[in-house]
Amino acid sequence: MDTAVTCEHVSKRFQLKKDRADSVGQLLYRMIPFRRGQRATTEPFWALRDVSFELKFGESLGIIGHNGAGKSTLLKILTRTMYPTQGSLAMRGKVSALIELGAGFHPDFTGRENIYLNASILGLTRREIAGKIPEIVEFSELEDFIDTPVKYYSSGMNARLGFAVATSVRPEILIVDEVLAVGDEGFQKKCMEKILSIKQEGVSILLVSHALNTIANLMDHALWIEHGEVQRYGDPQEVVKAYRAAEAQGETTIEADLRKVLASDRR
Amino acid sequence: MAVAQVGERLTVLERVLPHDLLRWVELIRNLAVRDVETRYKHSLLGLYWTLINPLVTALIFSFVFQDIFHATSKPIPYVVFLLSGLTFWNFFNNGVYSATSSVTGNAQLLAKLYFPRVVLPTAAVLARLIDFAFGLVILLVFFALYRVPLHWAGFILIAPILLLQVVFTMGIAFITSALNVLYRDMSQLIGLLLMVWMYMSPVMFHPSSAPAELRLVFYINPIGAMISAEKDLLFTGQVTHPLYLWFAVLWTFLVYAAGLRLFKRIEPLFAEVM
Repeated sequence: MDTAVTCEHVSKRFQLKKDRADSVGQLLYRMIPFRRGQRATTEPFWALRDVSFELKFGESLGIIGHNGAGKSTLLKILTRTMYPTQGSLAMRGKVSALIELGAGFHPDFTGRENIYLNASILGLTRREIAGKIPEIVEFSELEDFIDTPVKYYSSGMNARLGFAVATSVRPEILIVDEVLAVGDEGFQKKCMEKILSIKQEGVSILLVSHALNTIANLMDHALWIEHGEVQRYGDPQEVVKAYRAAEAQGETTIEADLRKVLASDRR
Repeated sequence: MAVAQVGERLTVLERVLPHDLLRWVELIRNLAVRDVETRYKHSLLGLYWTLINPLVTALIFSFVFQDIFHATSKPIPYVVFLLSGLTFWNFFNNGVYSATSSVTGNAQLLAKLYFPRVVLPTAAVLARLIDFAFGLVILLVFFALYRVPLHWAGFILIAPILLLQVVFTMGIAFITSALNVLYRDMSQLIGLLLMVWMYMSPVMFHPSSAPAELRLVFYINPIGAMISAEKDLLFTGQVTHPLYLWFAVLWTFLVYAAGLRLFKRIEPLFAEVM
Protein backbone atom coordinates (compact mmCIF):
# COMPACT_ATOMS: atom_id res chain seq x y z
CA MET A 1 0.00 0.00 0.00
CA ASP A 2 1.19 3.52 -0.76
CA THR A 3 1.99 6.01 1.92
CA ALA A 4 -0.39 8.96 2.00
CA VAL A 5 1.10 11.00 4.80
CA THR A 6 4.69 11.06 5.99
CA CYS A 7 5.33 13.23 9.00
CA GLU A 8 8.99 13.21 9.97
CA HIS A 9 10.37 14.78 13.12
CA VAL A 10 7.99 17.71 12.88
CA SER A 11 8.56 20.41 15.48
CA LYS A 12 6.86 23.73 15.82
CA ARG A 13 8.24 26.62 17.78
CA PHE A 14 6.27 29.76 18.48
CA GLN A 15 7.91 32.98 19.48
CA LEU A 16 5.98 34.37 22.36
CA LYS A 17 7.12 37.91 21.97
CA LYS A 18 6.51 39.98 25.00
CA ASP A 19 6.00 43.06 22.88
CA ARG A 20 5.72 42.46 19.19
CA ALA A 21 5.32 45.58 17.13
CA ASP A 22 1.68 45.45 16.12
CA SER A 23 1.59 48.75 14.34
CA VAL A 24 3.82 50.78 12.10
CA GLY A 25 3.89 53.38 14.88
CA GLN A 26 5.43 50.92 17.30
CA LEU A 27 7.80 49.79 14.60
CA LEU A 28 8.98 53.35 14.03
CA TYR A 29 9.27 53.82 17.77
CA ARG A 30 11.57 50.79 17.90
CA MET A 31 13.80 52.41 15.37
CA ILE A 32 14.50 55.39 17.59
CA PRO A 33 17.98 54.78 18.98
CA PHE A 34 18.64 54.98 22.72
CA ARG A 35 14.96 54.96 23.45
CA ARG A 36 13.90 54.18 26.96
CA GLY A 37 12.83 50.70 27.92
CA GLN A 38 14.10 47.24 27.34
CA ARG A 39 14.70 45.36 24.13
CA ALA A 40 11.90 43.13 22.98
CA THR A 41 12.12 39.84 24.79
CA THR A 42 11.13 36.67 23.05
CA GLU A 43 10.29 33.42 24.65
CA PRO A 44 10.37 30.32 22.49
CA PHE A 45 7.52 27.92 23.03
CA TRP A 46 7.59 24.48 21.51
CA ALA A 47 4.03 23.49 20.60
CA LEU A 48 5.27 20.32 18.93
CA ARG A 49 8.47 18.42 19.36
CA ASP A 50 9.73 15.70 17.08
CA VAL A 51 6.40 14.25 15.97
CA SER A 52 6.70 11.44 13.45
CA PHE A 53 4.13 9.13 11.95
CA GLU A 54 3.14 7.58 8.69
CA LEU A 55 -0.24 6.86 7.22
CA LYS A 56 -1.02 4.68 4.24
CA PHE A 57 -3.92 5.14 1.86
CA GLY A 58 -7.08 3.59 3.22
CA GLU A 59 -5.86 3.70 6.80
CA SER A 60 -7.06 5.79 9.68
CA LEU A 61 -5.27 7.52 12.52
CA GLY A 62 -6.88 8.82 15.67
CA ILE A 63 -5.16 11.67 17.49
CA ILE A 64 -5.81 12.16 21.18
CA GLY A 65 -4.45 14.42 23.87
CA HIS A 66 -5.61 16.95 26.41
CA ASN A 67 -6.44 20.53 25.57
CA GLY A 68 -3.27 22.42 24.76
CA ALA A 69 -1.39 19.25 23.94
CA GLY A 70 -0.56 20.43 20.44
CA LYS A 71 -3.27 18.64 18.47
CA SER A 72 -4.54 21.78 16.79
CA THR A 73 -1.03 22.87 15.87
CA LEU A 74 -0.42 19.46 14.33
CA LEU A 75 -3.65 19.75 12.36
CA LYS A 76 -2.68 23.21 11.13
CA ILE A 77 0.61 21.82 9.90
CA LEU A 78 -1.16 18.89 8.26
CA THR A 79 -3.58 21.20 6.46
CA ARG A 80 -0.57 23.33 5.44
CA THR A 81 -1.99 26.45 6.99
CA MET A 82 1.14 26.55 9.15
CA TYR A 83 4.73 25.63 8.43
CA PRO A 84 6.77 23.35 10.66
CA THR A 85 9.85 24.90 12.27
CA GLN A 86 11.76 21.67 11.85
CA GLY A 87 11.13 18.37 10.16
CA SER A 88 9.23 17.67 7.01
CA LEU A 89 5.78 16.67 5.99
CA ALA A 90 4.56 15.13 2.76
CA MET A 91 0.90 14.75 1.90
CA ARG A 92 0.39 12.77 -1.28
CA GLY A 93 -3.05 13.51 -2.58
CA LYS A 94 -5.92 15.91 -2.28
CA VAL A 95 -6.51 16.97 1.30
CA SER A 96 -9.91 17.87 2.61
CA ALA A 97 -10.40 19.06 6.13
CA LEU A 98 -13.11 19.80 8.61
CA ILE A 99 -11.27 21.84 11.17
CA GLU A 100 -13.24 24.50 12.93
CA LEU A 101 -16.95 24.75 13.00
CA GLY A 102 -17.96 26.80 10.01
CA ALA A 103 -14.38 27.55 9.05
CA GLY A 104 -14.50 28.92 5.56
CA PHE A 105 -18.20 29.65 5.69
CA HIS A 106 -19.29 33.17 5.06
CA PRO A 107 -22.21 34.02 7.35
CA ASP A 108 -24.01 36.29 4.88
CA PHE A 109 -24.05 33.72 2.13
CA THR A 110 -26.47 30.91 1.67
CA GLY A 111 -25.56 27.29 2.17
CA ARG A 112 -25.43 26.78 -1.57
CA GLU A 113 -23.11 29.75 -2.16
CA ASN A 114 -20.86 28.53 0.60
CA ILE A 115 -20.70 25.08 -0.97
CA TYR A 116 -19.33 26.67 -4.13
CA LEU A 117 -16.78 28.73 -2.27
CA ASN A 118 -15.61 25.89 -0.06
CA ALA A 119 -15.40 23.32 -2.81
CA SER A 120 -13.39 25.71 -4.96
CA ILE A 121 -10.88 26.08 -2.13
CA LEU A 122 -10.57 22.32 -2.35
CA GLY A 123 -9.81 22.70 -6.03
CA LEU A 124 -13.11 21.75 -7.70
CA THR A 125 -14.46 23.42 -10.80
CA ARG A 126 -17.94 24.90 -11.02
CA ARG A 127 -19.31 22.02 -13.01
CA GLU A 128 -17.93 19.43 -10.61
CA ILE A 129 -19.44 21.30 -7.69
CA ALA A 130 -22.83 21.61 -9.38
CA GLY A 131 -22.84 17.84 -9.85
CA LYS A 132 -22.21 17.29 -6.15
CA ILE A 133 -24.83 19.69 -4.79
CA PRO A 134 -27.68 17.14 -4.57
CA GLU A 135 -25.44 14.69 -2.72
CA ILE A 136 -24.28 17.39 -0.28
CA VAL A 137 -27.80 18.69 0.34
CA GLU A 138 -29.13 15.20 0.91
CA PHE A 139 -26.38 14.18 3.29
CA SER A 140 -26.56 17.38 5.32
CA GLU A 141 -30.39 17.14 5.47
CA LEU A 142 -30.64 20.84 4.67
CA GLU A 143 -33.12 20.61 1.76
CA ASP A 144 -35.29 23.43 3.15
CA PHE A 145 -32.44 25.68 4.26
CA ILE A 146 -29.85 25.41 1.53
CA ASP A 147 -30.78 28.85 0.20
CA THR A 148 -30.82 30.45 3.65
CA PRO A 149 -27.79 32.47 4.82
CA VAL A 150 -25.49 30.36 6.92
CA LYS A 151 -25.66 32.85 9.81
CA TYR A 152 -29.15 31.59 10.58
CA TYR A 153 -27.96 27.99 10.81
CA SER A 154 -27.72 26.19 14.12
CA SER A 155 -24.30 24.84 15.05
CA GLY A 156 -25.52 21.37 14.16
CA MET A 157 -26.62 22.49 10.71
CA ASN A 158 -23.28 24.19 10.26
CA ALA A 159 -21.40 21.03 11.14
CA ARG A 160 -23.59 18.94 8.86
CA LEU A 161 -22.98 21.17 5.89
CA GLY A 162 -19.26 21.38 6.62
CA PHE A 163 -18.97 17.65 6.90
CA ALA A 164 -21.00 17.02 3.76
CA VAL A 165 -18.82 19.38 1.73
CA ALA A 166 -15.54 18.05 3.12
CA THR A 167 -16.39 14.44 2.32
CA SER A 168 -18.13 14.90 -1.00
CA VAL A 169 -15.19 16.52 -2.78
CA ARG A 170 -13.54 13.11 -3.13
CA PRO A 171 -10.47 13.79 -1.05
CA GLU A 172 -7.58 11.37 -0.83
CA ILE A 173 -6.78 12.44 2.70
CA LEU A 174 -9.51 13.56 5.09
CA ILE A 175 -8.75 15.47 8.27
CA VAL A 176 -11.54 15.77 10.82
CA ASP A 177 -11.34 17.73 14.05
CA GLU A 178 -13.72 17.40 16.99
CA VAL A 179 -16.37 19.36 15.12
CA LEU A 180 -18.48 16.23 14.97
CA ALA A 181 -19.16 16.54 18.66
CA VAL A 182 -21.79 19.22 18.03
CA GLY A 183 -24.09 17.05 15.95
CA ASP A 184 -26.69 14.85 17.59
CA GLU A 185 -26.00 11.18 18.11
CA GLY A 186 -27.78 10.11 14.95
CA PHE A 187 -25.74 12.48 12.83
CA GLN A 188 -22.49 11.55 14.54
CA LYS A 189 -23.19 7.94 13.70
CA LYS A 190 -23.99 8.84 10.12
CA CYS A 191 -20.72 10.77 9.86
CA MET A 192 -18.71 7.92 11.29
CA GLU A 193 -20.30 5.56 8.79
CA LYS A 194 -19.47 7.95 5.97
CA ILE A 195 -15.90 8.24 7.17
CA LEU A 196 -15.51 4.49 7.29
CA SER A 197 -17.10 4.04 3.90
CA ILE A 198 -14.82 6.52 2.15
CA LYS A 199 -11.93 4.89 3.98
CA GLN A 200 -12.96 1.65 2.29
CA GLU A 201 -12.49 3.45 -1.00
CA GLY A 202 -8.86 4.13 -0.11
CA VAL A 203 -9.08 7.51 1.59
CA SER A 204 -6.77 8.13 4.52
CA ILE A 205 -8.46 9.44 7.63
CA LEU A 206 -6.96 11.63 10.35
CA LEU A 207 -9.39 12.10 13.20
CA VAL A 208 -8.94 14.20 16.30
CA SER A 209 -11.39 13.28 19.00
CA HIS A 210 -12.03 13.08 22.69
CA ALA A 211 -14.35 10.16 22.05
CA LEU A 212 -11.87 7.54 23.18
CA ASN A 213 -14.09 4.59 22.38
CA THR A 214 -14.42 5.72 18.77
CA ILE A 215 -10.66 5.96 18.48
CA ALA A 216 -10.06 2.63 20.17
CA ASN A 217 -12.64 0.69 18.20
CA LEU A 218 -12.74 2.27 14.77
CA MET A 219 -9.26 3.60 14.01
CA ASP A 220 -6.32 1.60 12.68
CA HIS A 221 -3.71 3.58 14.59
CA ALA A 222 -3.67 6.10 17.36
CA LEU A 223 -1.32 8.91 18.31
CA TRP A 224 -1.32 10.39 21.78
CA ILE A 225 0.29 13.78 22.17
CA GLU A 226 0.96 15.62 25.41
CA HIS A 227 2.93 18.85 25.80
CA GLY A 228 3.76 18.69 22.12
CA GLU A 229 5.46 15.33 22.41
CA VAL A 230 4.32 11.93 21.27
CA GLN A 231 3.50 9.86 24.31
CA ARG A 232 2.46 6.78 22.47
CA TYR A 233 1.86 5.76 18.88
CA GLY A 234 0.52 2.50 17.57
CA ASP A 235 -2.35 0.16 18.23
CA PRO A 236 -5.40 2.27 19.19
CA GLN A 237 -6.59 -0.05 21.95
CA GLU A 238 -3.23 0.13 23.71
CA VAL A 239 -2.77 3.86 23.19
CA VAL A 240 -6.22 4.62 24.59
CA LYS A 241 -5.57 2.30 27.51
CA ALA A 242 -2.34 4.10 28.34
CA TYR A 243 -4.09 7.48 27.96
CA ARG A 244 -6.85 6.42 30.32
CA ALA A 245 -4.35 5.13 32.85
CA ALA A 246 -2.48 8.44 32.79
CA GLU A 247 -5.73 10.34 33.03
CA ALA A 248 -6.79 8.36 36.11
CA GLN A 249 -3.44 9.09 37.70
CA GLY A 250 -3.70 12.75 36.76
CA GLU A 251 -7.08 13.01 38.41
CA THR A 252 -5.75 11.64 41.67
CA THR A 253 -3.01 14.26 41.76
CA ILE A 254 -5.57 16.98 41.10
CA GLU A 255 -7.72 15.65 43.90
CA ALA A 256 -4.71 15.59 46.16
CA ASP A 257 -3.90 19.19 45.27
CA LEU A 258 -7.46 20.19 45.91
CA ARG A 259 -7.44 18.53 49.30
CA LYS A 260 -4.26 20.39 50.18
CA VAL A 261 -5.79 23.72 49.18
CA LEU A 262 -8.93 23.03 51.13
CA ALA A 263 -6.90 22.03 54.13
CA SER A 264 -4.87 25.23 54.01
CA ASP A 265 -8.08 27.25 53.68
CA ARG A 266 -9.52 25.72 56.76
CA ARG A 267 -6.50 26.64 58.79
CA MET B 1 -0.78 12.53 -8.09
CA ALA B 2 0.17 15.86 -6.68
CA VAL B 3 2.76 15.68 -3.95
CA ALA B 4 2.48 18.61 -1.64
CA GLN B 5 5.76 19.11 0.12
CA VAL B 6 6.00 21.43 3.04
CA GLY B 7 9.26 22.87 4.17
CA GLU B 8 11.09 22.34 0.90
CA ARG B 9 12.75 25.17 -0.88
CA LEU B 10 11.04 26.82 -3.80
CA THR B 11 12.71 27.00 -7.17
CA VAL B 12 13.57 30.37 -8.64
CA LEU B 13 10.71 30.07 -11.10
CA GLU B 14 8.15 29.38 -8.40
CA ARG B 15 9.36 32.40 -6.56
CA VAL B 16 8.76 34.80 -9.42
CA LEU B 17 5.80 33.32 -11.27
CA PRO B 18 2.49 32.70 -9.61
CA HIS B 19 1.97 29.62 -11.78
CA ASP B 20 -0.22 28.12 -9.11
CA LEU B 21 -2.55 31.04 -9.85
CA LEU B 22 -3.70 29.25 -12.96
CA ARG B 23 -4.80 26.25 -10.92
CA TRP B 24 -6.79 28.53 -8.67
CA VAL B 25 -8.60 30.58 -11.26
CA GLU B 26 -11.88 29.08 -10.12
CA LEU B 27 -11.26 30.12 -6.53
CA ILE B 28 -10.24 33.61 -7.57
CA ARG B 29 -13.43 33.92 -9.58
CA ASN B 30 -15.59 32.74 -6.68
CA LEU B 31 -13.84 35.02 -4.21
CA ALA B 32 -14.13 38.02 -6.50
CA VAL B 33 -17.83 37.45 -7.07
CA ARG B 34 -18.33 36.93 -3.36
CA ASP B 35 -16.44 40.14 -2.67
CA VAL B 36 -18.72 42.15 -4.95
CA GLU B 37 -21.82 40.43 -3.60
CA THR B 38 -20.97 40.91 0.09
CA ARG B 39 -20.44 44.55 -0.53
CA TYR B 40 -23.90 45.04 -1.90
CA LYS B 41 -25.93 42.17 -0.54
CA HIS B 42 -27.58 43.93 2.34
CA SER B 43 -27.57 47.41 0.95
CA LEU B 44 -30.54 49.28 -0.40
CA LEU B 45 -28.94 50.60 -3.56
CA GLY B 46 -26.69 47.62 -4.18
CA LEU B 47 -24.33 47.98 -7.09
CA TYR B 48 -25.51 51.52 -7.72
CA TRP B 49 -23.12 52.61 -5.00
CA THR B 50 -20.24 51.97 -7.40
CA LEU B 51 -21.83 54.58 -9.63
CA ILE B 52 -23.01 57.04 -7.00
CA ASN B 53 -19.61 57.45 -5.38
CA PRO B 54 -17.63 58.60 -8.43
CA LEU B 55 -20.60 60.63 -9.67
CA VAL B 56 -20.90 62.66 -6.50
CA THR B 57 -17.12 63.05 -6.32
CA ALA B 58 -17.02 64.25 -9.93
CA LEU B 59 -19.83 66.73 -9.34
CA ILE B 60 -18.38 68.22 -6.18
CA PHE B 61 -14.85 68.41 -7.61
CA SER B 62 -16.05 69.97 -10.81
CA PHE B 63 -17.93 72.57 -8.77
CA VAL B 64 -14.86 73.32 -6.65
CA PHE B 65 -12.29 73.31 -9.42
CA GLN B 66 -14.28 74.70 -12.29
CA ASP B 67 -16.55 77.21 -10.61
CA ILE B 68 -14.27 78.32 -7.79
CA PHE B 69 -10.72 77.81 -9.05
CA HIS B 70 -11.64 78.19 -12.73
CA ALA B 71 -9.86 75.09 -13.90
CA THR B 72 -10.47 74.27 -17.51
CA SER B 73 -9.99 71.28 -19.66
CA LYS B 74 -11.06 72.79 -22.95
CA PRO B 75 -12.44 71.61 -25.24
CA ILE B 76 -13.71 68.81 -23.01
CA PRO B 77 -16.35 69.69 -20.38
CA TYR B 78 -14.65 69.55 -16.99
CA VAL B 79 -17.14 67.09 -15.48
CA VAL B 80 -16.44 64.56 -18.21
CA PHE B 81 -12.71 65.16 -17.91
CA LEU B 82 -12.84 64.63 -14.16
CA LEU B 83 -15.10 61.62 -14.26
CA SER B 84 -12.84 59.86 -16.73
CA GLY B 85 -9.82 60.50 -14.52
CA LEU B 86 -11.68 59.34 -11.45
CA THR B 87 -13.00 56.19 -13.11
CA PHE B 88 -9.48 54.97 -13.86
CA TRP B 89 -8.04 56.23 -10.60
CA ASN B 90 -10.81 54.64 -8.53
CA PHE B 91 -10.02 51.24 -9.93
CA PHE B 92 -6.46 51.52 -8.64
CA ASN B 93 -7.48 53.22 -5.41
CA ASN B 94 -10.28 50.82 -4.50
CA GLY B 95 -8.30 47.81 -5.68
CA VAL B 96 -5.38 48.59 -3.38
CA TYR B 97 -7.68 49.66 -0.57
CA SER B 98 -9.83 46.54 -0.50
CA ALA B 99 -6.90 44.20 -1.16
CA THR B 100 -5.06 45.59 1.85
CA SER B 101 -7.52 43.96 4.22
CA SER B 102 -8.14 40.94 1.99
CA VAL B 103 -5.88 38.61 3.96
CA THR B 104 -6.77 39.86 7.43
CA GLY B 105 -10.47 39.97 6.55
CA ASN B 106 -10.55 36.35 5.46
CA ALA B 107 -9.10 34.80 8.60
CA GLN B 108 -11.86 32.19 8.60
CA LEU B 109 -10.77 31.00 5.16
CA LEU B 110 -7.11 30.89 6.13
CA ALA B 111 -7.92 28.60 9.01
CA LYS B 112 -9.52 26.07 6.75
CA LEU B 113 -7.07 24.72 4.27
CA TYR B 114 -4.01 25.58 2.34
CA PHE B 115 -4.46 27.50 -0.85
CA PRO B 116 -1.98 29.99 -2.23
CA ARG B 117 -2.74 33.12 -0.23
CA VAL B 118 -1.89 35.35 -3.20
CA VAL B 119 -5.34 34.37 -4.40
CA LEU B 120 -6.91 36.73 -1.84
CA PRO B 121 -5.43 40.09 -2.91
CA THR B 122 -5.69 38.98 -6.54
CA ALA B 123 -9.41 38.33 -6.15
CA ALA B 124 -9.90 41.62 -4.30
CA VAL B 125 -8.32 43.58 -7.14
CA LEU B 126 -10.26 41.70 -9.81
CA ALA B 127 -13.49 42.30 -7.92
CA ARG B 128 -12.89 46.03 -8.32
CA LEU B 129 -12.56 45.43 -12.04
CA ILE B 130 -16.24 44.51 -12.00
CA ASP B 131 -17.04 47.84 -10.32
CA PHE B 132 -14.81 49.54 -12.86
CA ALA B 133 -16.83 48.07 -15.73
CA PHE B 134 -19.98 49.70 -14.31
CA GLY B 135 -18.13 52.97 -13.90
CA LEU B 136 -17.05 52.82 -17.52
CA VAL B 137 -20.65 52.49 -18.63
CA ILE B 138 -21.57 55.63 -16.70
CA LEU B 139 -18.59 57.42 -18.21
CA LEU B 140 -19.82 56.56 -21.69
CA VAL B 141 -23.24 57.88 -20.76
CA PHE B 142 -21.62 61.19 -19.80
CA PHE B 143 -19.72 61.27 -23.07
CA ALA B 144 -23.07 60.95 -24.83
CA LEU B 145 -24.82 63.51 -22.59
CA TYR B 146 -22.18 66.20 -23.13
CA ARG B 147 -21.72 65.19 -26.76
CA VAL B 148 -18.00 64.64 -26.34
CA PRO B 149 -16.63 62.77 -29.34
CA LEU B 150 -15.24 59.42 -28.23
CA HIS B 151 -12.29 57.95 -30.10
CA TRP B 152 -13.32 54.35 -30.51
CA ALA B 153 -9.91 53.24 -31.75
CA GLY B 154 -8.40 54.86 -28.67
CA PHE B 155 -11.05 53.25 -26.51
CA ILE B 156 -9.97 49.82 -27.73
CA LEU B 157 -6.31 50.69 -27.22
CA ILE B 158 -7.03 51.34 -23.54
CA ALA B 159 -7.27 47.57 -22.98
CA PRO B 160 -3.50 46.86 -22.88
CA ILE B 161 -2.91 49.87 -20.61
CA LEU B 162 -5.71 48.71 -18.36
CA LEU B 163 -4.08 45.29 -18.20
CA LEU B 164 -0.87 47.01 -17.16
CA GLN B 165 -2.84 48.88 -14.52
CA VAL B 166 -4.34 45.62 -13.20
CA VAL B 167 -0.88 44.05 -12.87
CA PHE B 168 0.53 47.14 -11.19
CA THR B 169 -2.41 47.32 -8.78
CA MET B 170 -1.86 43.67 -7.87
CA GLY B 171 1.81 44.29 -7.21
CA ILE B 172 0.99 47.09 -4.78
CA ALA B 173 -1.84 45.00 -3.31
CA PHE B 174 0.52 42.09 -2.58
CA ILE B 175 2.76 44.42 -0.60
CA THR B 176 0.04 46.17 1.37
CA SER B 177 -2.03 43.04 2.10
CA ALA B 178 0.98 41.12 3.40
CA LEU B 179 2.24 44.00 5.50
CA ASN B 180 -1.25 44.56 6.88
CA VAL B 181 -1.11 41.12 8.46
CA LEU B 182 1.95 42.16 10.44
CA TYR B 183 1.03 45.78 11.03
CA ARG B 184 -2.66 46.52 11.12
CA ASP B 185 -2.31 50.25 10.68
CA MET B 186 -1.17 49.58 7.14
CA SER B 187 -4.81 50.05 6.17
CA GLN B 188 -4.81 53.52 7.75
CA LEU B 189 -1.52 54.42 6.19
CA ILE B 190 -2.55 53.26 2.74
CA GLY B 191 -5.58 55.56 2.76
CA LEU B 192 -3.31 58.50 3.39
CA LEU B 193 -0.73 57.42 0.81
CA LEU B 194 -3.42 56.93 -1.81
CA MET B 195 -4.75 60.41 -1.21
CA VAL B 196 -1.30 61.97 -1.72
CA TRP B 197 -0.77 59.72 -4.72
CA MET B 198 -4.01 60.89 -6.31
CA TYR B 199 -3.01 64.55 -6.16
CA MET B 200 0.40 63.61 -7.57
CA SER B 201 -1.32 62.00 -10.54
CA PRO B 202 -3.08 63.74 -13.42
CA VAL B 203 -6.52 62.68 -12.23
CA MET B 204 -8.14 66.09 -11.83
CA PHE B 205 -5.86 68.17 -13.99
CA HIS B 206 -4.14 67.88 -17.31
CA PRO B 207 -0.39 67.20 -17.08
CA SER B 208 0.29 70.22 -19.31
CA SER B 209 -1.33 72.54 -16.77
CA ALA B 210 1.05 71.35 -14.05
CA PRO B 211 4.39 73.12 -13.49
CA ALA B 212 7.24 71.59 -15.46
CA GLU B 213 9.04 70.30 -12.34
CA LEU B 214 5.96 68.42 -11.26
CA ARG B 215 5.72 66.78 -14.65
CA LEU B 216 8.94 64.97 -13.82
CA VAL B 217 7.05 63.21 -11.06
CA PHE B 218 5.16 61.33 -13.72
CA TYR B 219 8.34 59.54 -14.66
CA ILE B 220 8.35 57.80 -11.34
CA ASN B 221 4.58 57.68 -11.02
CA PRO B 222 3.50 54.78 -13.21
CA ILE B 223 -0.18 55.01 -12.27
CA GLY B 224 -0.17 58.69 -13.21
CA ALA B 225 1.38 57.86 -16.57
CA MET B 226 -1.21 55.17 -17.17
CA ILE B 227 -4.18 57.37 -16.27
CA SER B 228 -2.80 60.16 -18.41
CA ALA B 229 -2.42 57.78 -21.37
CA GLU B 230 -5.88 56.31 -20.82
CA LYS B 231 -7.47 59.76 -20.83
CA ASP B 232 -5.47 60.82 -23.89
CA LEU B 233 -6.74 57.78 -25.73
CA LEU B 234 -10.34 58.53 -24.80
CA PHE B 235 -10.22 62.17 -25.87
CA THR B 236 -7.70 62.29 -28.68
CA GLY B 237 -7.11 58.69 -29.68
CA GLN B 238 -3.35 58.87 -29.16
CA VAL B 239 -0.89 58.88 -26.28
CA THR B 240 0.83 62.23 -25.77
CA HIS B 241 3.80 60.93 -23.80
CA PRO B 242 4.58 57.34 -24.81
CA LEU B 243 7.92 57.55 -23.01
CA TYR B 244 6.22 57.83 -19.62
CA LEU B 245 4.29 54.72 -20.49
CA TRP B 246 7.45 52.71 -21.13
CA PHE B 247 8.68 53.74 -17.71
CA ALA B 248 5.34 52.56 -16.34
CA VAL B 249 5.80 49.15 -17.97
CA LEU B 250 9.18 48.84 -16.32
CA TRP B 251 7.79 49.90 -12.96
CA THR B 252 4.90 47.49 -13.25
CA PHE B 253 7.15 44.48 -13.70
CA LEU B 254 9.40 45.61 -10.88
CA VAL B 255 6.56 46.24 -8.46
CA TYR B 256 4.77 43.01 -9.35
CA ALA B 257 7.87 40.86 -8.93
CA ALA B 258 8.91 42.60 -5.72
CA GLY B 259 5.36 42.48 -4.35
CA LEU B 260 4.99 38.79 -5.03
CA ARG B 261 8.36 38.08 -3.49
CA LEU B 262 7.55 40.01 -0.35
CA PHE B 263 4.14 38.35 -0.09
CA LYS B 264 5.62 34.86 -0.37
CA ARG B 265 8.19 35.74 2.20
CA ILE B 266 5.63 36.89 4.77
CA GLU B 267 3.06 34.20 3.86
CA PRO B 268 4.43 31.50 6.25
CA LEU B 269 3.84 33.89 9.15
CA PHE B 270 0.17 34.51 8.39
CA ALA B 271 -1.22 31.62 10.42
CA GLU B 272 0.99 32.42 13.37
CA VAL B 273 0.33 36.13 13.59
CA MET B 274 -3.40 36.03 13.00
